[in-house]
Amino acid sequence: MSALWQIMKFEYARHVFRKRFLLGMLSLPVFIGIMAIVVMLLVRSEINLKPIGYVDQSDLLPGPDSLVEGERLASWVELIPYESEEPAQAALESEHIQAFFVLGEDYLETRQVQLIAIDEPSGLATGQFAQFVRTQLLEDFPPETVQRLMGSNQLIVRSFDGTRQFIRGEWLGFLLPFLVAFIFLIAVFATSGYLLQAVVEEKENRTMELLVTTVSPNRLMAGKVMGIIAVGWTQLLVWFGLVLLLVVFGSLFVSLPDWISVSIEYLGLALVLFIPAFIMLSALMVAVGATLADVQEAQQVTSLFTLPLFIPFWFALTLINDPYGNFAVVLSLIPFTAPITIAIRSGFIVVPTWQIGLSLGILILFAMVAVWFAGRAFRLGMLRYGQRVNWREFIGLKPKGEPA
Amino acid sequence: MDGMPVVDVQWVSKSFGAVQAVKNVSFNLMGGEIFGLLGPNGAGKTTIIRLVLDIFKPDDGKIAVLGGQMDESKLARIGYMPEERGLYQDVQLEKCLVYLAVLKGMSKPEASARVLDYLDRFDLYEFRKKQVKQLSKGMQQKAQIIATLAHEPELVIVDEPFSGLDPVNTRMVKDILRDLRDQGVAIIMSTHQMHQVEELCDRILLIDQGQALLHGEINIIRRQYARNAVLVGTPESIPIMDGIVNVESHNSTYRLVLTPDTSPKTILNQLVAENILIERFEIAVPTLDEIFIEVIQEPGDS
Repeated sequence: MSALWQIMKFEYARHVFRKRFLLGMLSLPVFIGIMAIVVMLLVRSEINLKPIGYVDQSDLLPGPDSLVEGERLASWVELIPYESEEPAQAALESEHIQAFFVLGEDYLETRQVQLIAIDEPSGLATGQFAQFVRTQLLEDFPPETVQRLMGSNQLIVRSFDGTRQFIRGEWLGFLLPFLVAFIFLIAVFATSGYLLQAVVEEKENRTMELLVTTVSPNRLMAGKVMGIIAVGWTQLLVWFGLVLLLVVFGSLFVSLPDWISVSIEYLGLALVLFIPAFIMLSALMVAVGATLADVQEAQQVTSLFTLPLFIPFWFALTLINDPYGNFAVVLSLIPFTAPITIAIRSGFIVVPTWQIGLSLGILILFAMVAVWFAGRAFRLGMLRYGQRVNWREFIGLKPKGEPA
Repeated sequence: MDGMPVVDVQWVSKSFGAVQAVKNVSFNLMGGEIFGLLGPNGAGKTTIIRLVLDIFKPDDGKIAVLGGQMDESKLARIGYMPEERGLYQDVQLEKCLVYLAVLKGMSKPEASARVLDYLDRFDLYEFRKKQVKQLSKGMQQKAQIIATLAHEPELVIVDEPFSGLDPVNTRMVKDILRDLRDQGVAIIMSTHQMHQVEELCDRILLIDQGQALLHGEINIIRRQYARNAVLVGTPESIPIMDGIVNVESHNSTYRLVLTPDTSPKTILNQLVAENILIERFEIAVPTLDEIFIEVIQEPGDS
């Protein structure tokens, strides 16, 4: 255990405390941050933030004197009420406002609203006015009722046995499965890069020869995989921490919507499935790195393992439209597609417990086989400098006398 | 371990596909002995080392190491220095060496102290914070030796230990190997540098194409290959004398090849009788280099 721990610590420190890793880790959030700022500036420059006027002939909205400051500046665009169309028209011509709405006397019967503008205002402005009208119409109702009427119901789908549930209809609920799957993929690709590099370099530098006369190949491989998995998760945790920091920092300035309440249960399920999948994929990366001649060739071969991870994305619509279908169930049981398939399905339905249990069992079994396979590949391949190992050697059809 | 060989290789063979890398090789190594493993490139030396270290399994034969079959628990009692440098290139020298020593079972403080001591002895102390790849070839070789010895192994296996070392460091490594031998450590040394073998090794195994060609004590082997010849050091010229087939001279030293029925004593008596000033007189035994070339070129003669 001590040697395993030492190897894990060494591999972790060797990769994490390097400029290359730190640059790689920070470059993505910095890039996303810069892109977000650029997009916000572009959007802001495109949006017309001039006030919007309205003329209310139906007497449903507050008049010019009764519109309070909070309502006037409720959002991005200021609202200005006018007594009649003439002053509104004059304000429009003098470009004091970008447009004005006219609610006719029969608005409640016809729901017709006229919009007078030189250029049609953005959806932001019209949406804001529509929201204002609805709020005013519901003025006499209690605030909780207004709040409920303004938004749709939150549908909580609960499993038959009551052990699991998820919230349907929230847009974050829709995005979350894809977000979680995306994070899993980033972790897999980041880690696989480090693993391939570590194993192939050690093979090329002959470090492996020294190491296998120090600890057993299985222990060495296990320590290496665990250390580098920790590297991958460090990267994810830092990114997650930055997002959390952004949310906390943002909440000081903007009231956050209540949809930022991520299901711990959902994340727990994803984690339980991702860990064995992660170990399985990492072990396969070690096997590839140990048996092939160089990094480039190894990267090409690893695509055989990483491409199937994308299958659930390719068939995402099918999974969403028919999450209980046979196709979805089959993908949920194949180790390479299972974690992401179940993560996506769980965003829309309560996946039957037996399917999760069976999938997890298969994943754990495959992870164990992959670790064994990697140990064997490591032993077979470690001293084949510049040579690849024949696949037949793995299954025991090797020529007599080959390293065993 | 007294009386028991530290390494006992019995009739070991190993093939890779159609290539027979090692064929029926036997040898043993006792504690307090330096054993030379010699042979041309591709002879099977490294394969034998890897068989001893259990990196490869033999097809036939038996290998006992440190009193029994090789297993993981014995790895910490062995120090191995591969021919190619195997240290982490992108890691600080001190960290790398301490890590390897800790993997060999030492505590971190103990490993640190030992490594720093060795770094000091090898004049590498000031480079301890440098990455291994920033060191010269000779420095890396010294670092590799430290990695091999830091955990005080009972069995040391070194492949080309003097490669890249200057004369001062070569001498230092030799002294260290001798010290280890005197402390009872068993050492297998694979090298092409025959003069180092002659200086250090007690016994040798010469292999070619996976087969043992010569095995035994160096002095006995040299005597076996000695022709009937003497070396005479004199500032004067050697006169024509009976019983001499051939005379070769180099820097006031003559190598006289004698007829089979002529003894060295007869030649010495003749030189004295001729009143030749003799500075040196000895029976000419071949160097290992000469034996190596002779045996490799004509393996049937062995």
